[in-house]
Amino acid sequence: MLKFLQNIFNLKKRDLPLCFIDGRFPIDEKYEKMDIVLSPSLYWFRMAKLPASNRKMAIKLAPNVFEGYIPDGHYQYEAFKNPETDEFMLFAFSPEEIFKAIKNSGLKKHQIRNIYFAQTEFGNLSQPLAISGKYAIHQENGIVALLPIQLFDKKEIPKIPPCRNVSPKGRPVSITYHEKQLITDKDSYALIVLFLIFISLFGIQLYALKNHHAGLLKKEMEIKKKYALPATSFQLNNMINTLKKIEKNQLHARKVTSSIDSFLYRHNFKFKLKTFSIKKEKIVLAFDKTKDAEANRLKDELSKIVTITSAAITRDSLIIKGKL
Amino acid sequence: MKQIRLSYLIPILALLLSLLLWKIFSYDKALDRQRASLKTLEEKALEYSALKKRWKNPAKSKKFIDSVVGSPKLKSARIETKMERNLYLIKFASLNARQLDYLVNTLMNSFLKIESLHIERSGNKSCKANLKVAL
Repeated sequence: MLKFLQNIFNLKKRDLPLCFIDGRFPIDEKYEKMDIVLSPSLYWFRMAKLPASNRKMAIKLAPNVFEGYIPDGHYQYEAFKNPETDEFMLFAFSPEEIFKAIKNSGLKKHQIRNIYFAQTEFGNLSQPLAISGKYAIHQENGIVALLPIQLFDKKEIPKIPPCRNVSPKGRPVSITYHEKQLITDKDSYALIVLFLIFISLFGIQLYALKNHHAGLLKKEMEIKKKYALPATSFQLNNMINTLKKIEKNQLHARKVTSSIDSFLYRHNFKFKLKTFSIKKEKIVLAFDKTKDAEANRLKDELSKIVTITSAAITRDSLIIKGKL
Repeated sequence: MKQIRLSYLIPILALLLSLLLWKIFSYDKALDRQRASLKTLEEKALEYSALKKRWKNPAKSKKFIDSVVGSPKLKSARIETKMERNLYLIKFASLNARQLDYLVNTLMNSFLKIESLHIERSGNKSCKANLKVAL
């Protein structure tokens, strides 16, 4: 039933090859995906009893355990608890070195599914195993090591290929590695120089713009001083509007005066003007008394020039009041 | 250490460059606005100056009125002048037709701010006039 389900869901976990990676010998087999076992040369290993109840706490304590044993560098740590001895298997490794080894083995990062330590995979070795013709995996006192094959009798030790179709025994390790250098140092320096050039150029431009801005402000002040302008544009607009209104009224008054003069001239001074008075927007005209018909004609004609507000006939005058 | 410095330096410089570009861009925009506002101010200043010269120029107005009043053409007009705050009051006691024509024509073609003008016939061939001009 389980097999059936595994087939349905295409669970190929067990089908992936498990390849031993060291970086000093290539992996010839080209698999699309694989699990890898890290050579002991790619990590440091220690067994220790720690005051930790779980793996996370043990990982936090691991740097102290390795302090002084491993060279300075950037390490990532892993811990697995051995339930039989209550001890922790502690690992320190450099992700950068591991991925360098993977690269040297001719593999790509995306080809790798899970990573295991040789310690967990070969911890129970009863005899050395030759790998790649130059090295042998050997276990002594529970510690797995990769040694030159010359140290052993070649005829006695069995050979294994780097990639085998076997199931891993230990737990996989998760390695966080970000490829840091996208660009080389040379490129970096070139980029920095380029940045500095642009920064200098734009800095100069900014300085010029600032000067230009200051120049415009100065010019604005000069204009205000020259024409004795008020401080704000709102006040200036108000003053302009007031003066425009004055101009409009004055010109209109002149136009009306001129029109009345023309009107009198046109009628050959038939209508005798007694009084002409303009004050602000009001106009008063007094004529010698005329016949009613003529008075009406006069009013009609004048209404074309001014807005007549009243017309009254007194004893000897016709008084017409109007608005300009 | 060198690696770290380089890896930090490039983004810092890039940030600095971006800030500089942003600053230039905003300055450029501000300058455009400033130029436009300066142009408007110049136009308005000229407009204001011209209007002020025409309608709010007390010295020029007074000088003009004095020249009209002192004109030989109006010698016989029996003129009285009086200053009242910012108003110039002129009384013409006797104007003949020619003098009236001259006075009205001169006033109509001037930029005096006439507050009031009152002309009244006082005889068959003469009239009197009162003129108030704002200075």
